[in-house]
Amino acid sequence: MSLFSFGQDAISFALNEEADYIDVRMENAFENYVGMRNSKLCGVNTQLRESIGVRVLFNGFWGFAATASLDTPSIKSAVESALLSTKKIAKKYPEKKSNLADMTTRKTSVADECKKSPQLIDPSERIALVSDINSRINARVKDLTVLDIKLIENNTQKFFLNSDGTQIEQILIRASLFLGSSMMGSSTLPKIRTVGFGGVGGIEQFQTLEFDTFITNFTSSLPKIAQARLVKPAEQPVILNEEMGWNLCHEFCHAVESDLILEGRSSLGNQIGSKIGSEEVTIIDDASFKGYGEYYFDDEGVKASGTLIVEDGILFDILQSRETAGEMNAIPTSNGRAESSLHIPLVRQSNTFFEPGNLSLEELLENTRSGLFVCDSFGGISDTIQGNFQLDAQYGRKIEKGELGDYVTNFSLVGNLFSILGTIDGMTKDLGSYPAYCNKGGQSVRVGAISPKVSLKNIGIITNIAQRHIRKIDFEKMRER
Amino acid sequence: MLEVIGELILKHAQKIGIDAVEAFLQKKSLKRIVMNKGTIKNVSEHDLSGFAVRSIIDKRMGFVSSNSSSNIEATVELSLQNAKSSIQNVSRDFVDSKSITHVKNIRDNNLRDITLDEISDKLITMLESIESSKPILNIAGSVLVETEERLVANSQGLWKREVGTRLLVELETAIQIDDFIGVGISNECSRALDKNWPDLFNSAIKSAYSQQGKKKLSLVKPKAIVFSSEAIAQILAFSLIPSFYSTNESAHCESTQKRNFTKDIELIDDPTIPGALNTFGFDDEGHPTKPRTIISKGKCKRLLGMSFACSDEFQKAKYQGNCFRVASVSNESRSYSYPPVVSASNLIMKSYVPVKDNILGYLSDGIYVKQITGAQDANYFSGDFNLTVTEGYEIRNGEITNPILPCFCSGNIYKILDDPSLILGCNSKQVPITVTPLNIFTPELLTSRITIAV
Repeated sequence: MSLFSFGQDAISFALNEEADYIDVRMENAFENYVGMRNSKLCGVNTQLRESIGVRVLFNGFWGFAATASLDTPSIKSAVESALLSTKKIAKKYPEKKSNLADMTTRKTSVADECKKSPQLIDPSERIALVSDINSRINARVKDLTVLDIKLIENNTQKFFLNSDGTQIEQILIRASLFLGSSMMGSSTLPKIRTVGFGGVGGIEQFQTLEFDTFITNFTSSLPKIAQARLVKPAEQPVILNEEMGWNLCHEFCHAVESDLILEGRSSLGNQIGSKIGSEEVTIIDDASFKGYGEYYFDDEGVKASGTLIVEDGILFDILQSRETAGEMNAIPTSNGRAESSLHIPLVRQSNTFFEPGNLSLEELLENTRSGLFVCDSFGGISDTIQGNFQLDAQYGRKIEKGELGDYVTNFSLVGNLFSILGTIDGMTKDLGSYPAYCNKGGQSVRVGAISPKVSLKNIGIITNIAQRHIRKIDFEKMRER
Repeated sequence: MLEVIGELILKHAQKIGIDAVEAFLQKKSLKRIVMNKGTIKNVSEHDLSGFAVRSIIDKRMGFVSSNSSSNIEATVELSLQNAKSSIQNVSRDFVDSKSITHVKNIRDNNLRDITLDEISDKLITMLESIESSKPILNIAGSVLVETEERLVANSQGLWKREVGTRLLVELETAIQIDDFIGVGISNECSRALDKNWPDLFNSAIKSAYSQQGKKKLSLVKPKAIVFSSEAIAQILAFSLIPSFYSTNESAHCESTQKRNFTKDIELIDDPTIPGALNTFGFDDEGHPTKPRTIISKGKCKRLLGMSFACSDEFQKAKYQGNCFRVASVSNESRSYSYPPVVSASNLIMKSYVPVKDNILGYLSDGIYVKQITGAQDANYFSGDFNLTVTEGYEIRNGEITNPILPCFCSGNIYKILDDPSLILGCNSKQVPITVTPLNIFTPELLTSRITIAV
């Protein structure tokens, strides 16, 4: 029995049991991974997965069942028993009423274009690619203590069916390459660097001039970062490179995810129409943009579209799934996403980015005069209730008299999400785009890290400078001085 | 079902001439209830099963995982193809059944037959018992019951099967009094459903209330910081523990082994603690589990390892028994689909000379850091970390006084653990580290090697 038949059976079963609504997601996923560490291949792995997830609404109460089981006869019983449990528990909450926002019914099939399909290429081709990249890096940089290369290719065939009559098939193809390195330098502690390249399509992306530039930038920065020094903790003007700019935008946009707003974890839902940033700030989330977070339909069957979140510093809209839009009487923004069919859709970002400005990096540097150029991210975290955020940078360069100077490392940017956009005073006209992943509610989804370079008037920088004894740094007092 | 597929894999591997093969099979059932706004938001049931094959041909290894029972033979053949195209050299074989000692099944499965109805009934009773007079803004969280059946078999005659269950409860309570919003978190991992859940809620609410009246840190020269078990466990998980994984980052592993630690602390990985979150009878290659001392008397005694780490050369010490099919960052506990990697199980940090009294009594003035965020971006190569303190308090004359507004702290775990003035508290607590496979037992920790930024 095929997954598709299971899906159709599940819909019939749920409707017979008087469900208000049911949707079924099925996936046929192929993932290939090649890992190389210190010039030794340490993994040629393939993952094949079929899965089915069934979401049902009984008397306004949600239930979900998912299975990726070997035992095909038990798939049906697992789905059915979960639906019956949901129905039973729904009776305990007669007052609870969830609704779904309206959506156009569709029957369609779409697929990413790809020159080198992950499932069809000769396995030796990808190993040759990884070996070649390894040789190129080692030829240019000596003394690396660790060099990690990870090549990941995905081909995911996704089906979506629901009781309204929608039937969608989409095939999403991605290839990404991540480099990690460790190098000893001026201190006794090694300096770490991790970067990623990739997007929609297959490994043909790694045979382009853009990829060559990526490798050149990676190798040329390593010795300088290894010799980088610590930066003094302080509040100061900064220019964020594309990856850090995206990280700031991404952390802010967690606060406009409507499920968090409905749960009382963000107060921005009440501030639509309010000024929350400078006039330089326009933020867009667009799943139809060809970034790493691209898709054609979200995991509730809503067609991918762009959402204007902030326009000229004014909060314009928030991100919605069909489920949250139903609760808030709003329009779904195609942001109902799940890690796989095995997970419940949550409100997630896709390709979220600051709209580019009209300046060059040189102009931003000239305007800033003195500060820090902050590059590449180790990650970030934000608290959407209080607004505190922390972005961990891989390295930075001092800006002195409008020019880039010494390399610095081991620092993080800290501030408050609800006020930081007000300090943005310029952006470049060019955009950078990288592969990234976002974790929320235990689910990891692909997102496009897309951004121009972003200039901020002031942000807190913390760093680890007290190696021996406790030390307190007071930003306000430093400002007063 | 798992046994039948296991036999099929071994037989087909032999038929097509694979030198050595290992089959890992898993059947997992998850029952989850998610709460929000003080009621059940949704219920879900997951049934996940699948298998993974590692094949060796001409001393080269390949890996494939699948959950389709209709193409078992093709999957074994794909693992052979991966092995042939791989240049990962391996000079050993899989675990030989004759070379390992039999261990008693230490994993329990008390929750195997529990239903979603039973869990939801217990939860609804508890939610209804909460006083409506309290200024509660939100009660959210989840209850997860996991049942896992695992089978490891290989061409060396190994055949090991184990069934176990575990329960994880996470609760977050938010209260609002005028403009003040306080959030309290508590969690529990156990092997039974008989825990007193209202106590968990009360603990979360108490924590939310205690943050009322937050002020900017006013101590001019704090003497030291006391990290709660939850906070120091997060720091250990991301800035230290991966350094003890024996892989072919040989230079890094060698430098880890040469580091000095204060003589008072001991670090042990123990997958045999009865009832703990990560207690298993054998690892995912079939090695029997046992406690392994990592740090003792100021030195790193050993690393954690598995049979097939990345490189053979670094396997001189032959560290084995810590192979798990987990992702370093994922909510999924263990999955056949992940390639085997080295991971800690239940990690215990303790002191040779535990203090008898409240650790706060050792500090005239300082900061008590209860909850943090940001530890996951720590650099475990260097041990550096930068954190946001989301729940902290001033300590004056050995007593916790007022809560403080969020501030930031930075440090280096190696400097902290080499601090002769470091003090560990007397009460150890189990802390499961969210979105990782790690589980840490640690008391509170007092250190003066830290930078605080406000």
